Amino acid sequence: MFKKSTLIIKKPLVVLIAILLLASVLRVYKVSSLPLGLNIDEVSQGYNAYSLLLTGRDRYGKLFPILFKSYESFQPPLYTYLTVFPMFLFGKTNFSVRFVSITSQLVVVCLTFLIMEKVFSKRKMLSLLSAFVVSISPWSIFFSRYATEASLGLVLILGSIYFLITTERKKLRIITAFLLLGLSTHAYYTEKVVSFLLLFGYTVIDWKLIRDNKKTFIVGFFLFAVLLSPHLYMINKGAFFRRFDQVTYLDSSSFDKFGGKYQGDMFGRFVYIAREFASQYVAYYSPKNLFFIPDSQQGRSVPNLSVFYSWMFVPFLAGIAFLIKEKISKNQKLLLWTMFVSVIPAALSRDAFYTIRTLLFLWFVSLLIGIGIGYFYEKFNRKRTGCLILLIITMLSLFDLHRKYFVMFGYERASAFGGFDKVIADYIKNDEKEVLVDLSERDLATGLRMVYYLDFEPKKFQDEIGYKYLDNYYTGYDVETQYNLGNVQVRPIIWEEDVYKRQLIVGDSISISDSQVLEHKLQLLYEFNFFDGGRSIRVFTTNPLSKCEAGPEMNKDDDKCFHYLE
Amino acid sequence: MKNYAKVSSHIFLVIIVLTSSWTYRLFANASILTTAAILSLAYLIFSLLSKEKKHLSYLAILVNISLLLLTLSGNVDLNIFTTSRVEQDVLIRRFDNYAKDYGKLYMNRYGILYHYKLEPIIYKLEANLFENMDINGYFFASHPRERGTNNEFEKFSAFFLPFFVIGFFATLIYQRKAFIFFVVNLLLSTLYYSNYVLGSVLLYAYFVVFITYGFKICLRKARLLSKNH
Repeated sequence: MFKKSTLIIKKPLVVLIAILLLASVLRVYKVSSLPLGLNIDEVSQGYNAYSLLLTGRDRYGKLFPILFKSYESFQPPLYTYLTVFPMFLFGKTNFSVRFVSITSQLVVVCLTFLIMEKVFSKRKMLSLLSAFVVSISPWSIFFSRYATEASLGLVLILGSIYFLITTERKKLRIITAFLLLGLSTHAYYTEKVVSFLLLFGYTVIDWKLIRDNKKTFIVGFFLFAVLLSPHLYMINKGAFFRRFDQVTYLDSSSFDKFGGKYQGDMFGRFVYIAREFASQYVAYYSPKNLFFIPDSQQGRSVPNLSVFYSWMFVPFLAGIAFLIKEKISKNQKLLLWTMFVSVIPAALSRDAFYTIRTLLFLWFVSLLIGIGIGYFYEKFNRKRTGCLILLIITMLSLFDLHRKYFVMFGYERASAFGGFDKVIADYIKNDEKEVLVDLSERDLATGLRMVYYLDFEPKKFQDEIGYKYLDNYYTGYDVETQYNLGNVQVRPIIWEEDVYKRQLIVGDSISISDSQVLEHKLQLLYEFNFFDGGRSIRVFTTNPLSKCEAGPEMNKDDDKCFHYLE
Repeated sequence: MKNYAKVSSHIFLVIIVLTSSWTYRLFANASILTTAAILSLAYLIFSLLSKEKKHLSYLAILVNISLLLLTLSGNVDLNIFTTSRVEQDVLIRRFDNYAKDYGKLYMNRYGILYHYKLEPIIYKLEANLFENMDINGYFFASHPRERGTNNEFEKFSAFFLPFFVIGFFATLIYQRKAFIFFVVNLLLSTLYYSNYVLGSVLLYAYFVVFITYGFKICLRKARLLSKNH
């Protein structure tokens, strides 16, 4: 279908460097302040990495955890361990926390080129176009710019695929591939499933190669098994299946809750699960979700922008049509197999179109778009005009991205990333007054963000708060809700006591209503607003004297007022 | 042998039509003329796939245009060209935010025209277009991303989905004319209210045809395989 001559490019390395430069700019520009704060996962990883750097233990005081306890769940460990290095190099900044994600996605751009170069051999244009699509795609940019284990999982799986498809001449590469595959299971949850399915597909597709190089493969499998052994250690503890239990619909309680019309049927549960899986699986291929409607989670999407630009739907279709017509090679078979199975972990969870769980699939979609663009380029008689059209579309797309991510997202999603906590921490950081922050009811991570931004020492945290959770580290799901950080406390307000002390009180309109402001004689000091049309955070100072003098329920003999009225 | 494939795909076409809840919705809510136009369009497009004849194409275009005229009145999405009070508030807030960052680059006559007039229209047309392309909307009543209205219904059984996918791509690759017909209807459907009680009626015929065509291809492949064995 493609004429090889038209897709040969003279200096692919120069073009690749240009693509990498563009990718770097899009991923690093303003990354410390956009997203403004750190979301719940980022702050947990960031503070754990900081704690590891200073004390060798996580924030609870656990030595080398296999999974990091984080609120009601557990985080795969690799990202946090790797973040210790940027923490050491650049200090405790948002950039350090996001460094591994940024680097991973930049390596993904390189690997895209290398994998496609191998799969489509001499048609370097397709490799470059695919790398280019990955570099400008909203999903890749978005997930580079915040700390997520999914980016690390993606790069390790892609590294493994690259080594798997280049083993023909260098057999030892298979060992590297298996090592990366084993490591990927410690990077992100979906990779625990995908790595096995990839291995199964590879064994079936490349059976002849495996048969001819038994020894190398046995060593590879052995190393893979060794890397999986920590999972075996964890399998009987609650932590291993905790995340799966939180998100799956396979359990009976999910059927009881959402089974609807299938409840009462003999095979009702089976039909419910089959329908749920099929609909979830198909939803990841739906053009509506891929090219128009963003992920419904505020903290995991850009307003009005999905994971791809809407125009990319056309080359996406062309890319699929091309692959259907093409005689599929062995490597292409492996890629297609991986694409089909990459959605399975996400389809087993009840969250609709949960993009972070399907980064590998989104990468494959990017390849199809790249192939589709190559197809149109080849069909177009005037090559220079074709390049110009692509350039104009790219410029318009990047302008759209700038508007929606660098401007609109900055305002509208700041609170989803704990931006309020960051500005509050900056506001109270150098103040020696007593401060009470009541926001943790709405956002569990507020307390830890205060810990992080107010530079609370990890050793102190371990001794004063963390030690309580150490005994049932892998089996308990209890969450720290109250933080006493010297002069700053993070907890719900106790109105009967807190308004009788001189202190600053920080809260939103739910924690401190207007009537409570009047009733308790609070004085407004400052109001933070991100112009997102929603939440605003107010800082008040208490006024115990006025409260004691004027309150209708005031009891002048009360201990709380005695001190002020004397 | 040829007749066998022809007869079985015709039977399959009838099965799809009869098992689709979309068909019964048409009978219940649309006029007889509209229903007849939709069903005959399905048959015409299907015939066009097996035998390319000029008069069939012209007839299909004629029926398609009649269907458009029959269904367009009263079903056009008027929201496309108007903005509600809530939308206005969002537009104003966003414009203020953009203006802070872009300054005069955005705060000029063209910027204002684009932001308040053009972009909302493009967005709504795109929304209708992608809503009509949502596979889950046809096979799973929009599950898992339901729109929370009463008009969600499973138009075809999910068992037909693999045939649809095969038929869709086979049409895209081998039956360009029929695919262009589909694209034109898809674009015209953007003018309809996307949560229209009958669904995107202009596409009914094409969905039925894609499923049948996919079945026909599978049948052909299965016979070839059994022959080789």
